[in-house]
Amino acid sequence: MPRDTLDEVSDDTLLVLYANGDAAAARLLTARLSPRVLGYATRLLADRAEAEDVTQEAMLRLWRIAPQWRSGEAQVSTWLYRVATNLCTDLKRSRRGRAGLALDDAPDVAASGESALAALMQADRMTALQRALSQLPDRQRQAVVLRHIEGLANPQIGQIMDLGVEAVESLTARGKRALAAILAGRKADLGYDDDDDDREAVR
Amino acid sequence: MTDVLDLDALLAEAAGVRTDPSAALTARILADAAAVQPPLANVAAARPRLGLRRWVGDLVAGLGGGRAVAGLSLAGVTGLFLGVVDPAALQSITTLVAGETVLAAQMDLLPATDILWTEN
Repeated sequence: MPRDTLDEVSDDTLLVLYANGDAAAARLLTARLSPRVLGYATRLLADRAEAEDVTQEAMLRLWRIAPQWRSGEAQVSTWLYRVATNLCTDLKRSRRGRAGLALDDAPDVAASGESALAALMQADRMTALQRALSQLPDRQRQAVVLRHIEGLANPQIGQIMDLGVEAVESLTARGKRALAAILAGRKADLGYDDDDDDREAVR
Repeated sequence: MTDVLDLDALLAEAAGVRTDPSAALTARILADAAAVQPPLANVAAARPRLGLRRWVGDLVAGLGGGRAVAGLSLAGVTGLFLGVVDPAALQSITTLVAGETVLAAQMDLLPATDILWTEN
């Protein structure tokens, strides 16, 4: 099928096309989904290399499930986030006890269209945010990232985390409060002025 | 309120940062996809049947599947055999039904309908 025709096709349909032997469908699904999984895994793990491994494994599981995929039963992206969440949880469990991990791998910030200084400041803010996220309990971090960075709706997050909508709301709210408390002491890292009492960034 | 909005702005800024996979990662993912992709031969085998094969398939399915069709065929062949051969062993059953000794081939198993046409 021509590439420009595939661009408007849903993930569901692309997966069926892949299972039917369409190689272009695999390329398009990779382009659509792998950045999202990689960004999510990077924020959960704070380690780019591990996040890349998780992304590859999650995509591999998607390719394997393709022939049995039932269209309309679940969103491909939701399924993939769920797999990535479980893989990240397993990885974090396996690395528990290992000391000295660098938890500063924030997603890369592109400098295109911005001044180098602005890009540097944004990179600093993203690193500070990543450090704060890394201090949250796993479930709170997952909920906050899925809701406020990946932009998913609460029912979708509930499917990913095996929770009801109210539990997701509660988890997200607690995570956000904890994040604000952690970032309160890092206004300088975020590029906010410590002396300006009227413009406290976070508390 | 301002505090919440600032945290929201920071999270929104993070949401706008796209994490592009490296060319090496993309190549690894696509290599996996190619390695486990079902072969096209399976796709051809899974194509919908057309014409006579499809008609026969639908008929068999409508009759209850292959086993039901096999049972029906066996019953039909047995009935034909009994009708043609007229084995002597069946004569006792004929006598029991007809009440007298007649040949099975002479029996009138359909009731007469003349009575329905007579006027009172």
